Amino acid sequence: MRKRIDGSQLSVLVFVAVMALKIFMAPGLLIKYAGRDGWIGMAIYVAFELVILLMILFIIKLNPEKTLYEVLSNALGKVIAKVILAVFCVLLFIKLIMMCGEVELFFTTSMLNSIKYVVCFVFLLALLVFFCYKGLTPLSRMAQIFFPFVLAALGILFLLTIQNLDLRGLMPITADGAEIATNMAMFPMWFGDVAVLLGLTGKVKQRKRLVLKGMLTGGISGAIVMYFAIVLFAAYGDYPAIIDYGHNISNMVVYSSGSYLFGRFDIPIFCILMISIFVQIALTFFTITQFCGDIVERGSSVTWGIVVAIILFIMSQFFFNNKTELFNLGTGWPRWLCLAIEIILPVLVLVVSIINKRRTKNENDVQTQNSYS
Amino acid sequence: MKMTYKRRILILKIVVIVFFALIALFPLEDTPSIETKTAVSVIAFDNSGGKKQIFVQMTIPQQLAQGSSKLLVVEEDGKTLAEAFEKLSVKIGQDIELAHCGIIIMGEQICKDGFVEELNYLLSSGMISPQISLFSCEGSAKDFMDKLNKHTQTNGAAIFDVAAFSEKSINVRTVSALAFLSESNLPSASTALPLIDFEMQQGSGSSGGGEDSGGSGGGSQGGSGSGGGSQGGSGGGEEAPELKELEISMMFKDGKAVGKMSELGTKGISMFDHKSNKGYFEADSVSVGNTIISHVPMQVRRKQGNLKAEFVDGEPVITADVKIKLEMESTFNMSQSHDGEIKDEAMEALRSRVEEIIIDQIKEAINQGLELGVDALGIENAFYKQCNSMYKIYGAQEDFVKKVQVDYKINIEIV
Repeated sequence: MRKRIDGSQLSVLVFVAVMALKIFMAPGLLIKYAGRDGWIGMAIYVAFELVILLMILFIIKLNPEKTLYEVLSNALGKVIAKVILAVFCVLLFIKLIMMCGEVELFFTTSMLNSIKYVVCFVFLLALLVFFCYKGLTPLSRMAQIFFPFVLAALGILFLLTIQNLDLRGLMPITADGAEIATNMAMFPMWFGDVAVLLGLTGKVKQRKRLVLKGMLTGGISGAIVMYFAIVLFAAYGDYPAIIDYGHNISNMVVYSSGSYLFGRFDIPIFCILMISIFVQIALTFFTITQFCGDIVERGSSVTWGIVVAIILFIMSQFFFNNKTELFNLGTGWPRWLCLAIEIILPVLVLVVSIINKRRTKNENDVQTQNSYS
Repeated sequence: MKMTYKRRILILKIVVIVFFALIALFPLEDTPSIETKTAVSVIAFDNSGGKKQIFVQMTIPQQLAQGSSKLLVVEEDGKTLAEAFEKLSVKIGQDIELAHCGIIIMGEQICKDGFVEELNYLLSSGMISPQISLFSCEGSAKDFMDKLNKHTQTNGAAIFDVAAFSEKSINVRTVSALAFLSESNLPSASTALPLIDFEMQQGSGSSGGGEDSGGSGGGSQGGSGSGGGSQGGSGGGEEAPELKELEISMMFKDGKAVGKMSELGTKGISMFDHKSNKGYFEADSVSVGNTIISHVPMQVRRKQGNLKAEFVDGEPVITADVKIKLEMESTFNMSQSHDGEIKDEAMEALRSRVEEIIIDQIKEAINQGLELGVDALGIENAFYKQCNSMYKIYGAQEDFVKKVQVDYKINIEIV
């Protein structure tokens, strides 16, 4: 019998997926390229992501017994289902490279600039493979255990930043007009991380108000993301030129606290926040290995985990090992793939799920009528 | 084969040992970072002979009986700031660590030449924190740092105390590095830095414990917090530099110094600083009927100042909206019968006088700013941010601030 995660674990994964990369590097990138009003574009992206989340939660609710591959293959045939999953895997893998790269960027920019990240990365990959071996339940349980600490860290950061928040940095609003839209088109790759939750289809125990609770959690996460983005935009809005890829909101905590005398107390808080990124990395890694297994129909999760880990290590350490390459990856052709997959796939799967549901219901009704007659 | 518990623990132990072995073989760094970095507590910049000068006050920990540290001022120059930093690191033999540096002093020459590019470099490279406080000094940064060194030997970490106090004080507005760049980038391109200076005094300086140091580095004081002053290094009539009160601002236009603002105007500027919310406020010459009360000492308990911009019939109008709560330190002067009772008439007169003083401060800031060619209060920025569409049509002119009608809305609470 397939192991399933429960509703509260799903809520934690939703929270983490909505937050993911956005709380770290995305606001700095947006203010640099989209200017002072980039937060408006970010709000639109986050709202759009919540719409995708709603579709995904309905998909999970409508398919309590079937995985994503089974839903697609029943509706479209095995070949097309495998092609779709393969394309989805490519997108998730690119996101994984970006997540790992930005974690390294965060440590080298905000902490020790000479850190030998490769040593830590090897053990991270080993841990990710271990999660493939153990399955989704331990990963979700781990996320559930650490979740209160992540919330506490966010709460502390909120209290530290709210006291000196000066929203005048956001003004004037929309002075640059349509320029925002043009510049925001560069950044779809930093959003839509909820798409990975499609991999949870058929792996969640059904509970009451699953969609409502998931949306509530996602909404709170989205609000937190927007709050910290606005803190950064308000501080740098009048002079975005000094921001670069790698700058993140950790400095804003010290800036907003009002004095350098507090030192870098934000660093340990951010290390706790990193747990949420780690969970997202682990979930994405696990989902890729599951999809690989569905496509090839051969090999265990551990085998695919080792394969994906090796490829990830090579790509991350040899090809995309600096912020320029990462930025080019994120703003290059993958962004169109990202938009297509994250819009089309949930819609497609939802439509198929609804059709399947109605068909099943009709079949049940016919059977019931026949048994009466 | 199903893994037994013992086998799993064994694998775990092997993994942990391999992990730490790898860490030992491939350490993050050959030496701990603390041994390759030097904490800087104060840094000063200046221009001289076409070169950029850097002066740093470093903290050198040393083992002594009392446990203290030594402060050392080192200087270097270069064609660019980056070159000067590199030469400084080579000179010291360590990397310069500015994370705990809370104060930057700008010498007179670099203030005149402008330092936006240098500040840009320091912030975008992540060398300094965005909230680091900027101060300008009269004369060269070298002279200032020499005096600071002597001052620190007698008074410990007084400059940090002064800087921290000034952040909240209504006497002067302190500006962070990010705020300086932001304000220089806005339409008015005007900003102000507190002017910091020393005066020589006979036999001054309060000594504390410790050796020939001015304080130790790191810790909660951001570079020079614990440890005392020197052993009576300034007793017996010897001249020692003492910090002057921070009460004057140097005005900047497009990142370059254009002149000094008076003490009254500086207070007018700080009236709209959100961080400044305490300090001494004196109402002088309060006229109550036929009596003139010479002075009423008060303390600011709360202050909030905003500029509200609007266009009325196409004409720019700014309202200086100030809410201030004052607490009388002594009611003796106010109670004319000297029995402790303060008449309503007297309170009303006091409120009027306080309002007059505040309006005078604001007017002085605006008028003296205009004389210097700066928008001292950021009036044009207020229109740019609050009425952007109208500002694009009517504003963006050279003499825009002169055309602005200023209204005052002063709300005073005296307890």
